[in-house]
Amino acid sequence: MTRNTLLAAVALLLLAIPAAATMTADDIQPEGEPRVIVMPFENLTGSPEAVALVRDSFVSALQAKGWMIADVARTDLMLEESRVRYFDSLDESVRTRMTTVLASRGVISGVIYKYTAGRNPVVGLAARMTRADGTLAWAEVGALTAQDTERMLGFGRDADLPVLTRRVVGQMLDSFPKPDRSRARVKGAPRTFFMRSAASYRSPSLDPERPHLICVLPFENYSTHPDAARIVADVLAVKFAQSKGFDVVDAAKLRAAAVKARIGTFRFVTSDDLTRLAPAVGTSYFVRGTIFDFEDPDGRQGGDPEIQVELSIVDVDQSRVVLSAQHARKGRDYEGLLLLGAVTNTVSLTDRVMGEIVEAGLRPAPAGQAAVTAKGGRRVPERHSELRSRKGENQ
Amino acid sequence: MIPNRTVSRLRHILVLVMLGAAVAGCGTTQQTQFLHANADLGAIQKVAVLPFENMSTERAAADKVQKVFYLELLSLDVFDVVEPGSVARSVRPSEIGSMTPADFQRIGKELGVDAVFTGSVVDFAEARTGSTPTPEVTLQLRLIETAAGTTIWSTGQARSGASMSTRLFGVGGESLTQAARKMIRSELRTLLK
Repeated sequence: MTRNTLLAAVALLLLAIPAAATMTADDIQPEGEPRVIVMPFENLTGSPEAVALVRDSFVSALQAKGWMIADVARTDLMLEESRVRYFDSLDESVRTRMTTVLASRGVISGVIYKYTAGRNPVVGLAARMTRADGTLAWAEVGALTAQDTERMLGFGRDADLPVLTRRVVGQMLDSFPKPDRSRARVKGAPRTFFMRSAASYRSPSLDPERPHLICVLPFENYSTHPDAARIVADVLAVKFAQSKGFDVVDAAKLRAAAVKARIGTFRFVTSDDLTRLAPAVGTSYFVRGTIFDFEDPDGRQGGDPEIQVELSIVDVDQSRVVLSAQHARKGRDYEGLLLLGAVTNTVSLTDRVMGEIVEAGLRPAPAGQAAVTAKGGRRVPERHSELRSRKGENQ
Repeated sequence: MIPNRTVSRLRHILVLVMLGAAVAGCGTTQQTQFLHANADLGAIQKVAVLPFENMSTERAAADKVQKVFYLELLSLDVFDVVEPGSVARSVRPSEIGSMTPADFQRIGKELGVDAVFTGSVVDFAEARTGSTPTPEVTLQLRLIETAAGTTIWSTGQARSGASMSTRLFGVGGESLTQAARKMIRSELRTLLK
């Protein structure tokens, strides 16, 4: 090698270093190798075999769509080395390390809510893909019962749990991004005509023009179903994340912030606790709610799921509620012509109801609510002048 | 052959009997109301909603109805309403139902509110007309100004039985929450002119 060639090579190297320092994990990965990490899902069912089956279903379905999957054994080894306890969401440092080492665009994680055999087997789960930088690329909820797969005259019924699982995963991945980074076409939620919508209130102070970061807390649970709070909060987080008006704080970030703020349980968390938590999670908007009813047919043929919830988004900095909604539905409420269309499992019902609540919450405040007058420098709604007074009557 | 006049008279009697039966079968709603002689609701800017007292047999009734009330009050958009988490700081569950004017004055200072709403759920149960649910709901609501701890507005409403369409056609039954929401809306409207 001549002296000039050597100098040129050194010069190129010096120029390349700053460029390399600004590269992200996406840039490092060659365009021709779209790869994701598929984690074992968190399992709320009593069936340990569900985890492997769901994971295998995701791996097969994603490979069929042209995605490459990070080596499963290597993924599990890294999870063990990092002592990961919760598989629904990864800590930022663990996620960054894994996506870099395994040269992946993101991590697919999730929760299995239902995996029940019986006269009407049911599979229900939620999944998300988190990019290396922590932003959400995709989230979806899916559930099916054997009854849902029946066609006319009862033909075509799939009562095999592995088959149901593959069908659920296939439906969920319809909206998964394509390897060439283009968006998949997403089918909108079914329209509910002639049905009352969720009762809701949205404060005019919640700017409809920009997304708001919110933190979903575990719900208070008056029902007898032990997993109701988890299912409802998870599904609500997915629906908010899917909407254009809201971004949702990652579950792992909330857990880390709670540990740092010495909050052991969210059951009796106060507004003061949330004020302390707000800087760590990056937002003062917290979602709190209550589940009043959560009926789960749990594999019974012809059972009718039921749910009744209320929720509020509270701005703890201003000590005010910026959004509030209440909704109740039964599976049979969605029954249409020829007695078709009823929702037969709680995960699907929760998905529909939370979707309707988020849709109601995204509607801007009516014109009457937005009208305010300045009274001595204080915000006073115009309707305040309509309040009754007996003072004049007695003079 | 029956004369036309007799047929016409019989038809009128039949219609009257049917109407009478329908009215007799209607759900009943009773309401009582009080507004203090010197009340000036326009002077109230900021309010809080305290936890409701539960006198029914349904465990979560008070919480359910209080949350429905909270949403309806927000939607009315005439007051600044303190968020529930701040209220929980100032009110102990054991105090509900036995609060004195001094307690209301203390809460008013701690929360910086001009008045507080309280309520009692007396009945909250579901009966059945055939296969259709018919709610039995009795609510009492109060607005107490915190300067002196005086009740300035109070209303009570009881709703029981099925509506006419439910009795006649077996459709249109309401859930307990829907019935409570309707009652609360009509009660809150009495705050307005």
